[in-house]
Amino acid sequence: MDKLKQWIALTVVGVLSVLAGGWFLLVSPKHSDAAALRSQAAQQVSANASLQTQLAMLKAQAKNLPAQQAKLAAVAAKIPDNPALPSLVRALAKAADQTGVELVSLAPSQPTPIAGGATATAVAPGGASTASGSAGQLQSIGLVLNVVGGYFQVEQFLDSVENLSRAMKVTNFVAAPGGNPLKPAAGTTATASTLSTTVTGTVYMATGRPTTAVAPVGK
Amino acid sequence: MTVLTSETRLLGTSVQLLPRVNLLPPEIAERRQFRRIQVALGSAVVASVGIVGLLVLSASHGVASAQGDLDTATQQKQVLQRQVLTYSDVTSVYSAAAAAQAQLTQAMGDEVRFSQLLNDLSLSVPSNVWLSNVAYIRTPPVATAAAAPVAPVAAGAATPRVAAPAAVLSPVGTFTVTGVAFAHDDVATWLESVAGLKTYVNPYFSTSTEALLGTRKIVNFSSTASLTSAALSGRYAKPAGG
Repeated sequence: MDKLKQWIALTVVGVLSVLAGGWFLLVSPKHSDAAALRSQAAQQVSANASLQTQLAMLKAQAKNLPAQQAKLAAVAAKIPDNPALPSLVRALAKAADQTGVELVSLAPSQPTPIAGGATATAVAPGGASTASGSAGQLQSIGLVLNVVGGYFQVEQFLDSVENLSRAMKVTNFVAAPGGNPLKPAAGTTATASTLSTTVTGTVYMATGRPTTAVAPVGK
Repeated sequence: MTVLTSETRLLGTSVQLLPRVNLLPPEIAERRQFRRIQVALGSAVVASVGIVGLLVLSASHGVASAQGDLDTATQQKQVLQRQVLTYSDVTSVYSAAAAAQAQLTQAMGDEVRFSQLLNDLSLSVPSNVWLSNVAYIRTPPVATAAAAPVAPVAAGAATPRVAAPAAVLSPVGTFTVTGVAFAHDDVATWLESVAGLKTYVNPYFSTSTEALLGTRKIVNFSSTASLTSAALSGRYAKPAGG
């Protein structure tokens, strides 16, 4: 009986050893592997869901792409990537002609990088993986104009300047009685109704702008 | 040796069976029984190995299944990423448009439309007052939140608009005028008129001096006011995409 008990004890020990060893050495690691893989798969499925959301949003945005490109072109016209002085001079001269003022002088200054106005960037709506856009380094070009005309002509000229296709910000405006220096003999010398006006303003340009579907303007 | 006898009673009759004699020595029987127990014990060990094998098989199947799910998800991710890449131009255009809009806002966000100021001014100049010099000078934004000083009351004029706190209507420029009026009261009317415009605060005058224009008595005056943030056009202050 002792021998039988020994056999039974040994068998129990053996069975338990096989079960425990099998569990801890073979089954449990595989369960861990499976759990890790399932976790990775779940994360991937979640990432895929966000990718699908992003894709759906991109598809929706693609329908509005022409409008965005038009907006980009409009901004590029308002803030070109070069001084574009010829087109600016023509636009100001045209505005003066249309409003009846005499554009006596224009004096632009050298482009100056705007302090604190480093490369403007913005992240497009579309999620974390979308690239951030850059609009280049913003620079200002000071501009001093001297125009001669009546009060309401000057007012209309300012209105035209404020609505140029190129953005121009008027900062100072000084008007005093004064005549047209070019037509002193024509009776347009200083009168109470003629103002010599100095308009100080700023136009802008952006250097280093990436060429994203927008052609440069006003060379 | 053992002798076995058996008697069965059935329906009142008894059948006497022959005695069964087991001649097998008990040691051999015990050995056989021990052998059977050994086999049973061995079977138990084998069964445990089998159970472990089944468990391993099941776990392997689970691993394979999870790996399959992961492979499928990874494959789907690659497909989706390829599809997203086809829309990279959309992303770049939107990004560029947003950045350009932000840049435009940065440049022109504090624009003042002087043409509108001149228009408002032309409608608010009272009779008997003529402006000879007009100057608008923009000033950089004031960082302090302290309230602007209250404008003194002009002689003979009603109380002009009291300056609002800078945080609400911060001054964005100054407005300076020299002009001609018929009387000091007309200067007061002019200051009231300026105070009535929402784009100006702190109307003030520095001189109001009588003089003769030919035989007519006139008053030369000089006045100032502050331009408030209400003068900002806000045309470019819209958020990107707005």
